[in-house]
Amino acid sequence: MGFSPAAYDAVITKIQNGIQQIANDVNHFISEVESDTGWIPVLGGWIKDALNRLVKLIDEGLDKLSQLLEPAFIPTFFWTFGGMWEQMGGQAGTVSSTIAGQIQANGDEWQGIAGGAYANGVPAQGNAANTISSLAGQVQSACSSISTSGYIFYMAVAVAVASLIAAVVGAGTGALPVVIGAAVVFIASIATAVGSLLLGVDSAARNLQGMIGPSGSFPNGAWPIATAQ
Amino acid sequence: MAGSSQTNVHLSSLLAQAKVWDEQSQTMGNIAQTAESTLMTTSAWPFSSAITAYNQVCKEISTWCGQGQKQMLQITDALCVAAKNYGATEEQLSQASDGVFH
Repeated sequence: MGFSPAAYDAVITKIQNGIQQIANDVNHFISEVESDTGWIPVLGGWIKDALNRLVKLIDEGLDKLSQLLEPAFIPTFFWTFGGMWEQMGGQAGTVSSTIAGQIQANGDEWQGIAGGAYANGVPAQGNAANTISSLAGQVQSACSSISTSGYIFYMAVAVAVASLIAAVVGAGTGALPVVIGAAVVFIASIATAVGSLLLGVDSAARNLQGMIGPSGSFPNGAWPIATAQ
Repeated sequence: MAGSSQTNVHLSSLLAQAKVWDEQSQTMGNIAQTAESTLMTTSAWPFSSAITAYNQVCKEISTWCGQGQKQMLQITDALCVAAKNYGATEEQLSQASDGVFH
């Protein structure tokens, strides 16, 4: 499932609207149940307890949902930056191939330039640019992975929201246990989705961390010196 | 006459190379700036671990590209110095190095 800004925005809007609809539908449901059962002496008390439990579950779920919507812009950022890294990778690749062409055509001349001081350092420039191109590709891949993980996560949240709304809309007093069950499933679904998202995000983070530090192209963790002997 | 012709070949070759290296230097500088511009200035759970790692990679790649820009500019300068020794004019050197070498 690839990331698409338009589809992603639609999912986020669906969740935002869903939060309001859940609040409205649950309030309506609670009013109806209270109206139907409030006058029954003992049963009314039990039902009131059940309704309080439902309110607590819904409040908890909606609070969590609001918190999870705050960073919803981040997958879009990663998707945009991924495109920029793809371009940077292409540019660095062109630098690398241009330098390789220069070395092939004029490499011998470097022995006579600045007393040969650059002869060994100049070829390393192209290798370093090539590594930048490769790294940029890996960053783009990580960005894509993070944005897709975010998309899948919010899709799962949207499904959980829709399922809860479906359980509440039109439910009668007799459906109170079903609605409470749906609220429990709603919270559990969001927790599961968060767990999956964290796995995806942490995996991408580990891939990114693996890219930094010294390498053959960047001895001592720095760009190779042109005048190296 | 043969010596003068060889000098002209060296001169034009050095100037052409200087221009190529100057262009590569500019490209590396652009990549450094673009990489820096993609740094994420905000972080929020559950994306925090990825944002931290991403920013570290951005900074490192940006730093490397900035260093690459300087090294390639140094190569441009070395070529301009060599071209100057072959009699390149100030105007030729300025054109080859985009005005950086004087």
